[in-house]
Amino acid sequence: MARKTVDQLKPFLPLLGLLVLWIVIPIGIKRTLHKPFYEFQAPSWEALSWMRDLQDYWTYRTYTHGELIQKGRDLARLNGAYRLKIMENETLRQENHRLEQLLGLPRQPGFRYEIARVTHRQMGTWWHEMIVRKGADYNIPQGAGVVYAGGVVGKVQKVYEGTSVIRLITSPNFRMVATFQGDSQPLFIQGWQNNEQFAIPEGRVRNVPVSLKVSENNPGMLISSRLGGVFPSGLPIGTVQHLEQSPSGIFQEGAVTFPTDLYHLNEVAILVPMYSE
Amino acid sequence: MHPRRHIPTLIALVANAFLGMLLLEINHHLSAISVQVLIPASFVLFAGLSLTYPSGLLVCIVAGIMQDAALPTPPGYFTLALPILHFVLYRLSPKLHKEGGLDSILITQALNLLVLLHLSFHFSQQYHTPLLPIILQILASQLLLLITAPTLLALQIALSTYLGVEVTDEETRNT
Repeated sequence: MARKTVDQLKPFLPLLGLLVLWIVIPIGIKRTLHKPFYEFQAPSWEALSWMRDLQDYWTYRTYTHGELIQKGRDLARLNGAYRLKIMENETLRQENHRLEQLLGLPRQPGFRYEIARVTHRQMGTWWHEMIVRKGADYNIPQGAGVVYAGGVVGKVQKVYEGTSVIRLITSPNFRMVATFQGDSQPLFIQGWQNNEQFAIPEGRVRNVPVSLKVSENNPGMLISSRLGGVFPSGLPIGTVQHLEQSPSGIFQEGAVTFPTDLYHLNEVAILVPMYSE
Repeated sequence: MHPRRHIPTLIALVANAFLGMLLLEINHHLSAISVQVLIPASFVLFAGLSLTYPSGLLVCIVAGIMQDAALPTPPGYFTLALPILHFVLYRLSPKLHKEGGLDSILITQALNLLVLLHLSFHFSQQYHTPLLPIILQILASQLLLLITAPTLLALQIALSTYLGVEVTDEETRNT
């Protein structure tokens, strides 16, 4: 009878042992287990992303000469416009620097743009993040801002040897300081999950002063603020079409619509502060 | 100990690694509509039905650690969840079809649903996520499991047979 009981309990023992072991071992050791297994898998993720890029390359090879010439012409026009903007910005930057020296002001931090390809995206109701192909090997700091041509993407959450994990602006754990275009009052943005609009990235803007009015015909454009120290000022974030009174009654809050490109990104730029190097 | 006895365990480990990569690629493309699929029960199906208990447990622990490293789940979530699923499946395996009949599919679907509901409950408590996206995500995951789990199980059994190792009922009872 006793032997039968022991035989019946035998399969429970390894599982029980695993549970007890997992409860008892310190969190430091658990974290130590996490990194080697992550790094073990990272090359396979990079390989998958290289294969995707190769697939895209062979797709582009099927384009006709006419299509390529047209795309090249469009890109040349865009490059020309950006080149002019860069020259204007350089003039403004030098003027800024001259004024800082004249008035004895502290220098504003500059950023180096580190372009990184996305290995894979993980976005759903549980988490919003993406992994990129650059990490500690390119001196990417934790907490650095991440942007793309359309505006803000998010922040670097974790840095590994050859990859980095980026927390997206749509993540409920993400917060950043912003302002409305044409206004200087700081607000903050948090990621959000909407019930109705599935593939449209959304967030919430909070601490909006009651004096600010927006509407569907006159939406407010949110831009980044350098107050957080992570992003430079002026980068587009999203639009706000409707504001309502917050529960506290002092401020307003509302839904922010981010560009839909956020869910299709293949390449981003990480803002590495120049004075941290 | 004959090395051929370890072939099904190696097949399970490699199959789980490929399944992890396949899921990663599927989720990468589904991110365009902000949907993510998770099928933890498929990692334990072959291990629970066809391997000995220690081998199956080892396969599930390794799969759990790999999934925890790849996903932003709470620390050790899949490292504990997969062995528990494996245990349940192993205990029920004498009553189930080893080749993945309707009973195996139903049990796998139920186990997978339990894990997803628990995960959704945990994250919705933190983030106040609305119900509709969660339901859609769970439905998508269950549908993917329905399609992939029997195929993956059959593939692993066929590979074991091809490499000369028959996975029989006697083997699963020898713990």
